[in-house]
Amino acid sequence: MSSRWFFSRLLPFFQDMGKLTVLVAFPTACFIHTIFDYVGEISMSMGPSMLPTLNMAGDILLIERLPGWRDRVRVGDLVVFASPADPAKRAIKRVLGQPGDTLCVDPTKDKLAYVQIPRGHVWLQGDNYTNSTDSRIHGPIPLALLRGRVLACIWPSPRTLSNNMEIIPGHFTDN
Amino acid sequence: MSSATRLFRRRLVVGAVAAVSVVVFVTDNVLSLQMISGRSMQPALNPDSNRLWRDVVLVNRMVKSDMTSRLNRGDIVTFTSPFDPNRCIVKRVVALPHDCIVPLGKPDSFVRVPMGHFWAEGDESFHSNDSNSFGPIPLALVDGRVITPIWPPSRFGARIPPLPEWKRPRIFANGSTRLSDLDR
Repeated sequence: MSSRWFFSRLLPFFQDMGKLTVLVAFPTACFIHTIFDYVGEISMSMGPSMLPTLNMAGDILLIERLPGWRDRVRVGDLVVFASPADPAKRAIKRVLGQPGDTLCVDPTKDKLAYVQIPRGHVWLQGDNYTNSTDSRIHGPIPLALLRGRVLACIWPSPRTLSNNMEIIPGHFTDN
Repeated sequence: MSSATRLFRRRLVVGAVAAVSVVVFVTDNVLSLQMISGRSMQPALNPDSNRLWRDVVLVNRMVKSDMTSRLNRGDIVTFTSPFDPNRCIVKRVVALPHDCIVPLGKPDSFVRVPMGHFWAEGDESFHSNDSNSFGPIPLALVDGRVITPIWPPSRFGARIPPLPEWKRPRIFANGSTRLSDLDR
């Protein structure tokens, strides 16, 4: 074992590794990250709050983040958002109200409270009303906290999760 | 077209894509520049509103990875407006989660900053639209922490003054101790 061996064999190896990291690995990682941030992402969701739409044990979902997706969010869409109570946590909920809408906070309560959604906010609620931490606790959520729109479920039961909201004709719609 | 030209073109495209994605990644997650408009942070930023120039500041974007532990009272942060996702606001962090604060103009009331939120105020309170008007702000809206102004050249590396002294008695750290008593 001599220093000659180090300079002739080991050093070129480290130099190659360094070049590979700087010129190939880092740009590739950046490229993938940028695609995740500006095109879309495949990500895992877990928890009981979106039953029966999503599994409790976990679903792999396709999330859209194409430029302008925030303006395309409509009532009935599933969205990913950062929890206002903990910035490290993300959750999936359904949009139930857009800016300007007035809605009932919790129809199951004895005393009904109504809220008007302010500018730039949305009202989010899980499909499983009995086990969901959502706008009923956090209040209206800023659009800037939304992190993506859920397009489809990839696994275990592949299907699109597009907005299938129907407006039932009634005294709210025909003025 | 010769194969050498084709190879050169392919390398050019790959290089351009790599360069753009590295720049986008760095400006989103590591370090970026931002222009300050308005006078809500005077005198820390944009000290002379008569001039035509605006301050350009260096923003540390790495705070995004762990906002609950990397922000301190007195830091100047940029965050997305809760009312308009396309607008960015620059204000000072005045209180952190679980702190209590007396809002400006309401000396008899108390606000407890909820979990995962912070209280943002401009230094120039009379020209500032901040938490005193719209309440505590989710930490998840923070984009980065202002490091220092770098433009115009006369302001390069200017020290950012600490939290104004007159605001300190209004803040109760963790809801119990006045921030001004904590220093003694």
